[in-house]
Amino acid sequence: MSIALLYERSENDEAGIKHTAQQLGIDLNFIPFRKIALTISKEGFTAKTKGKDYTDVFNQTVVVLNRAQSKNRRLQASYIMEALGKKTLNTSQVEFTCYSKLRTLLKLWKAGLPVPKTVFVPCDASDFMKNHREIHNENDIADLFQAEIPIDDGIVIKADAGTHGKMIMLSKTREELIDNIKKTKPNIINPIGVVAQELINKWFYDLRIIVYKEKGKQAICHNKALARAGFKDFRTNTFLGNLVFEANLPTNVLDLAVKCGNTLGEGNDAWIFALDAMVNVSDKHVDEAFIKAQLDFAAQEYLPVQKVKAAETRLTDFSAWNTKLEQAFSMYANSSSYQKVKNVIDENIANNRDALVFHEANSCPEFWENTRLVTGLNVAVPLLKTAQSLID
Amino acid sequence: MTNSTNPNTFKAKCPDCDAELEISSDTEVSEIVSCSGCGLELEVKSIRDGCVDLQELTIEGEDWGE
Repeated sequence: MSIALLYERSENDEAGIKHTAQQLGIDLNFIPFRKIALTISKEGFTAKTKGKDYTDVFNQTVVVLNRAQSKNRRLQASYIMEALGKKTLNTSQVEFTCYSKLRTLLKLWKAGLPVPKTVFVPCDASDFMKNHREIHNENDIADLFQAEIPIDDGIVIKADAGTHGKMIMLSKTREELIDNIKKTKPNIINPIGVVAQELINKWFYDLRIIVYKEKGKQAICHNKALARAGFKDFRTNTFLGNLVFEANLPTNVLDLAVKCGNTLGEGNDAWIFALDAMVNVSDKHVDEAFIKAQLDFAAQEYLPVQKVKAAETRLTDFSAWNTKLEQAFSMYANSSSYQKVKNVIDENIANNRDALVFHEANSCPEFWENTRLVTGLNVAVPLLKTAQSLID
Repeated sequence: MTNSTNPNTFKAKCPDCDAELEISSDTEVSEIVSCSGCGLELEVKSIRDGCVDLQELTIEGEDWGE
């Protein structure tokens, strides 16, 4: 009876889950999903790579921690494992919802939870007729968007299944909007249609909030969030070079996040999400020049962390690399500029506690390098404990 | 290390799943080999005295996402 870590490539998060499992004394099976051929036939099923038969590993597994990095493979993995009688974290139902920003937003909106104003137009930027003639829909789509969201306020077009800020484009003029709609052709991270959102005045930061539920227990929202901050771009993803800070969450935000988790978890026994949220800031209580200066100082303090992150020793000695990462991060978090920016964020969240909107839920969040170090929550612990709760 | 049962191959370990791999002795540095155990693509970083150093390739799929 065991927990299996299903993954495509063992990146830092997966290495961190292995490392944490060892510390907790939890035995893990490993399923390198990417090149395992699954065969179903009247004789049952087999799961094999070219050189190894994983069928027994599959048979011994009770709960699957689904960490396939590709959203499409993760979805297939959850359906496969559930068809084989395994419990999955997260379930295929949850993966199906979180795969799509629109589906996530619809569930949250239906439950009365705060989301950004969102417009979905099902048609694509262009269509091809049988005679190969191209029909352009960009103007119609732009008209539909502009009828709902004033262009002067900014219209954000998002790839429905994108992450890391990919294919998220801001338009402030009609020309930009048409261009951005043209770029949103059907592809693997935007299968169909075009999603647009109002531009939330999030000032210089957004939030990543961890919520989880073990079987038989109430859902929990961790009281510290990861704030991603910077003025470089309207997107604040860390992937785009923004800095990270701890943010204290007020009680009403914790309650809202738990409601989001329960809504997206849809009655499943156990689940875990990283919710992305923005504060619609009406009260910029601190001079931006001060914050920009502190962010510049903090960026310098962050350089040693980046240096450790890039070191290839993580591939050869994860434990030693992790110790260096934690030491470097501790120096950064204790710097005066970090504390000053953190204080501004904490105060701003408190002042705007009723103006938070949730815009995405991540079912397989990255956590080892940022969320864990910033919030003090090693997400591998609730992941593993939640998986264990499905066995007990 | 040169494989005693097959002198035309070197032995190496997959850095991810620890599978024992047999690498052809005419393999060049920077070649990509595949682990038979987990299927992971690995780059040959160095070959010294019959020792093959393999490193996981960093790739990113179009739909890589959280």
